Amino acid sequence: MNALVRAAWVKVRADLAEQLRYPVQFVFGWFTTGAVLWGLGLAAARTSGTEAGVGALATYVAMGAVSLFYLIPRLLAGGKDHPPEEAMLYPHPLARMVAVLASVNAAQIAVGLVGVYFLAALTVTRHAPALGVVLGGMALALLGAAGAGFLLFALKLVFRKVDGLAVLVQLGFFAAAFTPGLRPDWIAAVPVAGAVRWLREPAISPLPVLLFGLLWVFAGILAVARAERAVVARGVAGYE
Amino acid sequence: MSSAIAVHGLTKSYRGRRVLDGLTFEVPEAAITLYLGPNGAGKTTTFRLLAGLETPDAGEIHILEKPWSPRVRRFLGVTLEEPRFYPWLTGRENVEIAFRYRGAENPAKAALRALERVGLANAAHRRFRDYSLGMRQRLYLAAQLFPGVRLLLLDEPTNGLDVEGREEVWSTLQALTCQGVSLFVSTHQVLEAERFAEYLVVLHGGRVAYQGPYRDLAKRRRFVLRVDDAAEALATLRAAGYEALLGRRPGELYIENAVGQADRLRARLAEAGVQVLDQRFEDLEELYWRIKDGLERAA
Repeated sequence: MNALVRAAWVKVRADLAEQLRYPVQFVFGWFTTGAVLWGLGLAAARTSGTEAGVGALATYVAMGAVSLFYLIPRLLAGGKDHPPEEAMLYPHPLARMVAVLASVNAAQIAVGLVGVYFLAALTVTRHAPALGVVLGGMALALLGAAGAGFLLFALKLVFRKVDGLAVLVQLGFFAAAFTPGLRPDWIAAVPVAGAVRWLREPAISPLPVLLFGLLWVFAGILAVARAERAVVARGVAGYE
Repeated sequence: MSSAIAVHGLTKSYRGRRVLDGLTFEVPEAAITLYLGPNGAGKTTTFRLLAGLETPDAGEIHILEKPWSPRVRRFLGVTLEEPRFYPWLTGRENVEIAFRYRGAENPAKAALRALERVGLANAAHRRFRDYSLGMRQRLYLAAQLFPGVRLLLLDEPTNGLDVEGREEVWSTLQALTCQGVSLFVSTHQVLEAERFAEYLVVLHGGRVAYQGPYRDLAKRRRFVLRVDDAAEALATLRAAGYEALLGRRPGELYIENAVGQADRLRARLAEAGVQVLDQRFEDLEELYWRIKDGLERAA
């Protein structure tokens, strides 16, 4: 496991070095992300009837989670619609590799977006947001999104092309999180939306969201392992 | 002889189409074994089964004297089709990441050493996207030279390389065998591989058509003459008791059991007024065709 984490860390470091090669793009890329998300957050707050700061935070959190969901099926440098066979040749179960790489990428996303959110909040509101709430919301959202991402990874392994489904699910996450008045009890089970609801109503216990998030992750990892076995048994040429 | 690979009765079908049909062969340790066969014969399928990317319908695979299990990947390097690396990372970083995934000790240093072994030390700090096709192929090979590797399965390792690049790759592979690494190499570049091949496995119709040391096959090579009048030469040689037949190319004749008789043959033909334009022994490609033709006739 340590070897996997270190390998993922080397890649993160190299990615960062590559981004820093183009400092103007790096700075203004994040600046634009921060501004756009803050604006979207204000709009979402107005339509859903929540406080502006919470709306902005919810947008950052949802965007981070959806980014992770989008990223997971693309983690292992395989061909666009081809199983990541280079990774399957390493002496680790594919599910473990995906889980470790997703965790490292989730941390990367969280650090970037939380940092930008703090800067944006300090600039706009002159107040530092509560770190526990920001980190908690981000962690809960990333957890559920990771689970859903693993499921998508498993589907992609078996069915090759799943982009249409991925787009639909992303839209579904946003809809469930930001549709005004949509706050049923089971929303805690919906990735991203459960975390956003907790941000809006922090008095509610985050435990159900956490448990459902872990359940999604467990189901996703199981699905990846099952899909890997199915793909190996079937063979690439068995899917024309 | 201990085996790097031992395969017995390997069978694989896709949607009812049998690709491998009871494949049985052995690959010796610390040698270059060429895996030859026409397109679609099942070479890549064999590689995928050996690498564990697919499971066989029937048959057994032993790698380094042990039944196949995911554990053999600790000693097994595999190249398939085209290399996939992170384009914005350097060659060294890409290889280092691959080695870290494998749990190699001191992966940064090991990556540099692997790059040295394939002649890419000077390009170690260039980004992969700036590599030429030949450099990419060699980087792919370097990524398989992780510490502890004992067997390499290489599918067309010289594809797309220029003459110099191909020579470098084959020399590198030969050097690896001296270090105890076993190589099982599929290639269409039969002629360039001939100088380096120690053992051959020839695949045809999902079965092994020939397997054995290259030197044994080389003993069966026929003498080849290119003459200005093939029909006259054929009649002359047959009249003199030689077993001769027309070759695949115009003006060429194949003569069996003619080792050490080149001068006598030329003299006979000169007497008959036939001019010899060229002489040589059959190459590996022609031997391969002979095996294939023989099988097809038998079928």
